[in-house]
Amino acid sequence: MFSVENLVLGYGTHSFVLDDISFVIEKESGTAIIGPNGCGKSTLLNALAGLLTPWDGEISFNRQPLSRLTTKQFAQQVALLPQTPQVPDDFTIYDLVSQGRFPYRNWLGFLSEQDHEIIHQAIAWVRLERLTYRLVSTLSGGERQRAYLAMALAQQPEVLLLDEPTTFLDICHQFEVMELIQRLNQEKGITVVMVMHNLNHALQYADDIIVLHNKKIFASGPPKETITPTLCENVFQIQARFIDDKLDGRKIFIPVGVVSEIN
Amino acid sequence: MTTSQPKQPENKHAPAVILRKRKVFRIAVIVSFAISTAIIFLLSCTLGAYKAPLGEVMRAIFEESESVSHAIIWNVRLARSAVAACVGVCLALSGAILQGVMRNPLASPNIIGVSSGAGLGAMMVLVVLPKYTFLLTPVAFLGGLAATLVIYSLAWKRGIDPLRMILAGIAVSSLLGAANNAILIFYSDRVQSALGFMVGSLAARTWLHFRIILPYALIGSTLALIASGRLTVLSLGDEMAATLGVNIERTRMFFIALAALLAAASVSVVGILGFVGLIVPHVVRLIVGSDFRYLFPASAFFGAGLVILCDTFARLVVQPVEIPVGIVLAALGSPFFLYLLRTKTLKHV
Repeated sequence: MFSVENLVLGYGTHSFVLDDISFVIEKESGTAIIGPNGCGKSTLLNALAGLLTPWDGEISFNRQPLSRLTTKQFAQQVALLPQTPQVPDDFTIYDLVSQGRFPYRNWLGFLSEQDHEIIHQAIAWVRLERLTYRLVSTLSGGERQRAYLAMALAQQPEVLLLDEPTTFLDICHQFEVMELIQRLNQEKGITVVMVMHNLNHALQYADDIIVLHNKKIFASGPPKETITPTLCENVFQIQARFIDDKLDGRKIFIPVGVVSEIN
Repeated sequence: MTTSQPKQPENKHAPAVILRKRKVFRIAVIVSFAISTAIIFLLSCTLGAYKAPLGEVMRAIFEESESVSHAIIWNVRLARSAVAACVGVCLALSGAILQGVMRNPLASPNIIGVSSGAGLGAMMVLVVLPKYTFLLTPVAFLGGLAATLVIYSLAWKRGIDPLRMILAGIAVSSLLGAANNAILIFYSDRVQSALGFMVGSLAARTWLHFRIILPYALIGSTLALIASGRLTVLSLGDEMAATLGVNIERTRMFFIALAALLAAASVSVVGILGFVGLIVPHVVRLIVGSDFRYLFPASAFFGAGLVILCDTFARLVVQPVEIPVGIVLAALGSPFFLYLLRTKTLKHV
């Protein structure tokens, strides 16, 4: 799906963020990007979304260089859910989700009967049909995240990029959103790439993880093998234990505390 | 408007009904604004020092005649109200566009320097070089656009950040204002001629002015309407809009240029009429919402009606003297705007 080669990223001419990284994201996989604050997770995600021109190296999407795709073509295949999206105060869920059809609209911008059908299906799929005409600004955090997922779904993308989709949510809504993302991945076959902080979520939901540290990829691979006590110590400066849950074979991460003195 | 929830979610027809109702409501608002504006337009032609009944106005519009009343109605009032309508359309659209592009409720044509640039241009012509008064309109127009261009390039830093543009706009406008005031001080004996321009006046505007501004009003509204969907997407934030296939910088530049042209066209014809561009989009947004496909046409009609109404008032209130329309607009518009601000309605500010 995505193939990244010798990518160098930064903002402007001075603030240098990621150096010479390469990786591949398989079709229909679920990848988590993890790392400490300020390691460039969001920057990498924005680069995959085509929002940032690389300093060097190349990102290819379906074997085509990103720079060669038109914004519209790309928008029909890749959706992004930013960390703090904005919405006008008087937008209903329906209005928000209908913006997902923008890449398919004709030049006058009116929606077809088929578009309306897709919008309603997307809203029903995230189980918000009872709130279709509620204002987005009055929704709870979990409902709002689901509304944005419906919008991404209406975009009918091949890839969904998410930037910390569970921040600000309580534990129930965190799982609700994660399960919804997992269903998008498994039932709709949408490739998912997401930035996350919660290592247990990464262990539970991701097929692959990419760990960023010191401007490089520190490690990558299946989460169970990749997330280890050594990694936690080196990357996050914390001591951690792991438990294998006998019931369903899951590996559970238990943070113990900060590594006392960083030498 | 649309906050009500369907009571029976099982009812498959409920969504379609709500959507249709909202659409009908919004279109009804636009149509009623259009009709009100037409009525205000006709009324403005009947009222004045010379009282003309509606029938006479109609005859003057649709029949050629040599009579004095025809001359008054056709050459003076109709022309003036037509200019007022175009000015209203241009300023209201310009304000609506800028509030959308800048994502800032305080954005208006003043913020991108059109007013101060045009003001300085006009001041140069009227006060410093009074022999060249015939150049007033083009110089004011170019001054307005030049100021926008300067602000745009000052705010450019790998793209336009709306907040940076607003701050640059305020700074450049103050600088131009200082130059303006300096001229006022050095040429204090000639200031009188420039006063009308500085507060905005429709006195003695003719078909000539109408012909100058009409193309901007027409082409501007058409372009704005065609691109309105992009502006709606832009209100979801840059990142979201970009991944939905909107070229952010190009769209922003297009809309800023369009707003600058619309505002410059109207400022160069009637002078600095500040308030229309700020309040009309707000009032209209309260009624039809933030979808620019409806907001643009509704703002255009509302702006046209408002400017004609205020100008008629300006002609009538202290006859035989005329007060500049800019004063009436601010005097009537500000309290109304404050009233809206105090009542529940303006909640997003």
